[in-house]
Amino acid sequence: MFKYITKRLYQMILVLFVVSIIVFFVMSFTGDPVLMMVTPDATQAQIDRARTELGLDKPLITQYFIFVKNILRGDFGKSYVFKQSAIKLIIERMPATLELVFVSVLLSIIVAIPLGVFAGAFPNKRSSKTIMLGSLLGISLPNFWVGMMLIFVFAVHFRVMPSSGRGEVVNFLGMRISIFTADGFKHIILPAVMLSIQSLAILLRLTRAGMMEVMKQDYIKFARSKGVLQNSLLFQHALKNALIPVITVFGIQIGKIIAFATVTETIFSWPGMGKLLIDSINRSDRPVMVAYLMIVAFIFVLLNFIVDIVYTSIDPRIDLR
Amino acid sequence: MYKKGLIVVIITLLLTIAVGSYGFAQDDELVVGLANDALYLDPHQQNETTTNMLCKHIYDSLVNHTADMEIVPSLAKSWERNSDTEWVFYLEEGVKFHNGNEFTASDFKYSVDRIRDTIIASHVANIEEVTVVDDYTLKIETVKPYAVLLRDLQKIMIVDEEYAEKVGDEKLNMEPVGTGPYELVEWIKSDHITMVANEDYWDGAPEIKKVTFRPITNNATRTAALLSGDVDLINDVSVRDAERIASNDDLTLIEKPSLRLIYLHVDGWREKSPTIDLESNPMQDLRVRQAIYYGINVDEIVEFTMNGHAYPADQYVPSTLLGYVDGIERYHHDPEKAKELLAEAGYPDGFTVTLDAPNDRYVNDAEVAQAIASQLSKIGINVELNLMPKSVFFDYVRPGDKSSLVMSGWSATTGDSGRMYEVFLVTRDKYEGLGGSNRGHYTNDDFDQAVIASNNTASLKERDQHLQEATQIAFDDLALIPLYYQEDLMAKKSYVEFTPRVDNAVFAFEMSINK
Amino acid sequence: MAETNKIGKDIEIKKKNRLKEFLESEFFFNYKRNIPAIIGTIIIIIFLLMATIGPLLVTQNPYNLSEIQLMDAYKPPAWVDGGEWKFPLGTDSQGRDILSSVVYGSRISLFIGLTGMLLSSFIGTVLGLAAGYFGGKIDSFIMRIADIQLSFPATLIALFIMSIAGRGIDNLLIALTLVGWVIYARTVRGATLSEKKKEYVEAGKVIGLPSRKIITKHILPNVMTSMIVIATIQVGTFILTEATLSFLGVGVPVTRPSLGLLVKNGFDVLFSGLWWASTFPGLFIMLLVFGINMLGDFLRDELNPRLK
Repeated sequence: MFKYITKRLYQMILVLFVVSIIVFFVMSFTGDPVLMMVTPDATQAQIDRARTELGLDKPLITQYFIFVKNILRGDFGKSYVFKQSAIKLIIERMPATLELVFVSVLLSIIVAIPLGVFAGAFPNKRSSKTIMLGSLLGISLPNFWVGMMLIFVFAVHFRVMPSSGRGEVVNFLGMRISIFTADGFKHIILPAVMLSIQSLAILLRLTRAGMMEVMKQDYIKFARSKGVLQNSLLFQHALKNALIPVITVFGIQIGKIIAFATVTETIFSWPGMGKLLIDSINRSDRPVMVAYLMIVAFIFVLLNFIVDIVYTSIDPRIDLR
Repeated sequence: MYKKGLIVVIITLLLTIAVGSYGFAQDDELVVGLANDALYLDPHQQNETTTNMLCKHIYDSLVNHTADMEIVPSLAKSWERNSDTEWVFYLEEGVKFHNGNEFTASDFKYSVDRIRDTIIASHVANIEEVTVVDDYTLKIETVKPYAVLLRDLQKIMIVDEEYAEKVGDEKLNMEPVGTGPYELVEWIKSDHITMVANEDYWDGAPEIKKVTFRPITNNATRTAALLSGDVDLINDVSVRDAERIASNDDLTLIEKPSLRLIYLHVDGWREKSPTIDLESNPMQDLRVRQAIYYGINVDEIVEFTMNGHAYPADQYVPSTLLGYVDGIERYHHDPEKAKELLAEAGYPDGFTVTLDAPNDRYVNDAEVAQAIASQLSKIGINVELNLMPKSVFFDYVRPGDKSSLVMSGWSATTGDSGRMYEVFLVTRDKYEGLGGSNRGHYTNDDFDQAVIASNNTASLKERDQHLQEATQIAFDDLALIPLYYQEDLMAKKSYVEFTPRVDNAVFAFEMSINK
Repeated sequence: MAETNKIGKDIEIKKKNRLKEFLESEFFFNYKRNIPAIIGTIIIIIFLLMATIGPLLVTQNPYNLSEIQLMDAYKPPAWVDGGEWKFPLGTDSQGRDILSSVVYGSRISLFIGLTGMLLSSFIGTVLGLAAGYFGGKIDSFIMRIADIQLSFPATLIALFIMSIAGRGIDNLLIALTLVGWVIYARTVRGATLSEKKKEYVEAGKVIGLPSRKIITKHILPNVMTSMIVIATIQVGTFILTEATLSFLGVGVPVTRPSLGLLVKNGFDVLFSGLWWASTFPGLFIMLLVFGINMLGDFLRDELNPRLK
C-alpha cells in the first residue's frame, strides 16, 4: 500500500510537471498582453516599458525557468491586469466556486440517490422508466440555456429569485461564505440548480446501475424472501453496496462540476474562479490563466488520487500493481 | 422514513427562501450595477474608464469636470497664469485624507512624479516641473505653451505621499486612502466594491451614505438585475433592453449622445492593400472611398442594429468640441451614386475586401460590421468579415500591415479632436509619438502641420482653428469614414436622482434617493 | 460466365439473409419495442434531412449577406402579434430568419459533432491499436498521455485550446479531436490486449500472418460494437461541447453561427422580451442531443452491457 501511494505521488508530480510545460508554452501564443494594457495612443517607448515590466522581453526559455522557479516558491506571477499575485486572485475566489460546487453536489445527491435507488430496485415500473428518460434529458440539456431560462422565469418574470451575484457573505473559518445568510442562500439556488442538472442525471444513472447489480445478488434475494421491510432493505442493505462504485465515479465527476462552474459563473455573474478564468481569457491575462490551470490540475490530480486510494481500500479485488 | 426526512428538508429550504427576502433598502444606500469591475483602486496604474470613475469616489484632483465637462475648482480653489507656460495654483486648506493626514502641495508633486513611472505617463507628459511654493501653493511649468493643462490636471488624482511611501503599491491598491467623498469599506473582486460616505469631506458629506458597485459584465444579466430589483442603477444598458426599461413605471431610462464615434479606417494611401487581391489598391482613389461612404446606410444601422440608440455622425467630433467645422455634411445613403463612382474609378464590378472589427468592444459591434458588409455587398463590394475579440483585435490592427478596412471607435474625452488626429491620422513614423495607430496609412502634410500647430498654441481659440482646418482636410480626403456616435444609456429606479453627465460617469456623490 | 453469375446470386442471397437475420434478431426485436429509441432515431433522421436538404426548403440563406434586409430585424414568430409567415420563428438582429438560421445552424452543429467523432475515433483507434499491439514504450507513452488528459474535464481542455487558437470550425475540430480520442484508444487497446493473448492470434503470428490482417480480421470486429456505442454518445457530447464553447465566445465564427452561438446571440436580448431568438435554437439543441442520447442509451443497453 505504501509503495503504491508513493508511486502514485510520484506520478502526480510528473503530471503536474508536464502540465506546467504545456500550459506555459501554449499560453505564450495567446494575444499580446502588452497591447491590451496600453491605450491605442501609446508610443513605442511606453509599449516597450510595459513589456519589460511584465518580463516579456526575455527569451521564452528564460521565462519558463523563471516561471518554474517562482512556482516552486508558490508564486505564479502577477496578473497583468491587476498587478497582484495571480494565485492570490484565484484563492480569493475559490470559496465562492467551492461553495457553489458543494451545494450543487449536495443537491444532486439529495435528489439523485432516492430516485436512482427506486429506479434500480424496480426497473420495470413505468415511473422508473420515466425517471430514466428524465435523466437522459438532463444529460442532453445545454446547461447554459437552462441557466438563461432560469433567470428569465424566476428572476425577471416572477421576480422571486435574485438574478445574479452572490448576495451577503459572512466570514467562516477565514473564508467568505454566503450560504449561511438568508440572502446569500437565496442567491445560490438558481446557479446551483443549473450546475447540478447534469451531475444529478449522471449520479442517478450510476446509482441505478449499481442498485440493479446489487439486487441480483443472493443476499438481497435472501433478505427479501425473509421478509425484510422494503425501505430498510433498499437503503440499508442494497444501497450501501451499490454506492461503492458510485462514490468513485462521482469523485471524478466533481472535477467536471468545477470545470462546468465556469459557464454557470459567467451567466450568473458569480464571483468565483471560473468567471475569473473567462474574464482573464478575454483580457489575455496569462499569469491568471496559467495559475488557474495549475490549480485546477492539482485539484483534479488530487481527486483522482483520493478516488483511487478509496477505491482500492474499499474493494479488495483491485490489485495494486 | 426517508420520505419524511425529505419533506422536512424541502420545507426547511422553502422557509429559508421565504424568510430570506432582502430586508428593506435604506433611503441613503445605493446599489449600482456596472458593466466592468475596477482594475485598480490605485489611481495611477491604468487609464481605464471604470477604474477612473471608481477612483474619483476615493480621490480628488486639483480641478474637476462638471456634468457638462466644464472645469471647476476642486482641491485647487483658484489659479492664475503667469506666462504661456507657467501656472500658479492656490489649494484648499485643512483638507484631510481618510487616514487623518493633511493634504498639502507636496502630495500633488508626489503624485505627478509617481505617474511619470507608469504606463499612464502621458497624463503628465506636458508638465515640465512642479514646484511646491508653500503647503498651499503650487507652481506648474508646462513643456510648451499648453492650452488644455487643466484637462490633464483633472485626470491626476492625488494620493497621500506619506501613506503611499509607507505601505507600497499593493496595499495602496487594496486599501486606498484619498481625500475624496467616499472611503472604501471592501473590495471583493468581480463581486462588489462597497464605500461609505466620508462624513468629514471638505466639500460637504455626500447624501448617499453607502454605495455598492457590482460588476455585472453580461448585458442581459445586468438588465435582469435591475428588473428584478437587485440593483438601483445600471450603466451601459443594451440598446435592445431600452424599450422594456422605458415602459416600466418604476424605472427611468437616461439617454444621451456619447462622445464615442464609430468609424471606418480606410487603407487608401498604400500602393497595395493586404486583403485586396488586385494589382493596385482601389481605395487609393477618392471616388472609391466616397462610394464606400455612399454605400453604407448609417440611418438604417442606427434605426435597426442600434435600435434607434445612436446618432449619425457628420464628422469626427460632436459639435460641442474643438475641431468641429460648421457646414460639413455627411454623405447620405445613395447606392446608385456609389455604383456610378465605382464605375468611374474603373471598378464597375466592385472588388473583395476584408473588414476587421471587434466583436466585444463597442455596442453591437459585430452586428454593425455585418450590416455594413451586407450593405456594401449591394453596391458590388464584397466584404469578408474578420471579427475578433478585443484582446486580439487591437493587437491585430495596431501596426496596420494586415488591414484594409477597420471598424473601430474613439471617445474624445479630452474635449477636442486633437488627440484622435495625433493617434490615427498624422503620418506614421514621421513625428515622435504621433501616428502610432495610423491604420489607414493616411498621409497629408497640410494635415500634419495643422495638428502640430494646434499643439503649439496657448490659446484655445487658435487651437480650435487649427483643428478645424485639420478636420476639413481629413474629411475632404475621407481619411476616416464617420458612422455614428453611440448613445450612452443608463437606467435607474425612478427614486434615484442625479444630473446625467456628458462623460457618462456614475458618481454616487452627485446622487440622492427620493422615495 | 455462368460461374460468376452464380457467385453474384450467392452474394445477393447472403445479403438478403443478413437483412432477414437482422430483422429477426433479438436486437431488432428489442428495438421495435423501445419507444425512446425509435423516437430518437426519428429525431436524428429529421435532423439529418434538415442538414442535407433543409437549405433547399427554407426561404433564406442566412450566410448570404445580400439576401438579408436590416429592416426585417427582430420580427416575432408568426403566431405572435407583428409576426409574418415569411419568418415562421421570427428574425434576429440582422433580419435573418430564425428558422433558416436554425436549419443552417443544425447543419454546422451536426457537421462538427460528426466530423469530430470521426476524427477522434480514427486517431483513437490507430493509437489504441498501436499501444495494444506493440506494447512496451509506445504503449506506456500513449497511455500516459491519455491518463493525463483524462484527469481534466474535456470542456476545460477544449476551452483552453480554443482560447489560444481562436474561433473557427477547423480549430474546433482539432480541439474536439484532442479531447475525444482517448476513450477510443483505451477501448481499442483493452480489446487488443485481450485478443493478443488468444491462441489464434499467437498462431497467426507464428505462421507469418501480417499484423494488418490480424488487426482488421480479428481485433477490430471485436471492438466494433463498443465503438458504435461510444461514437453515438460522443456525437451528442460534442454538439453540447461545441455549443458551450460558442456560448462562451470561443467556438464557431460569428458569421457562421451554430445552434450554440444562436443561443448566445439570443441571450443578449432575452430579457428585453425578444425571447424567440434564443429559445428556439436552445430547444433544437436539446431535441437533437436528446434524440442522439435516446438511441445511444438503447444501443448501450443492447450492444454493450459492460458500459452501463
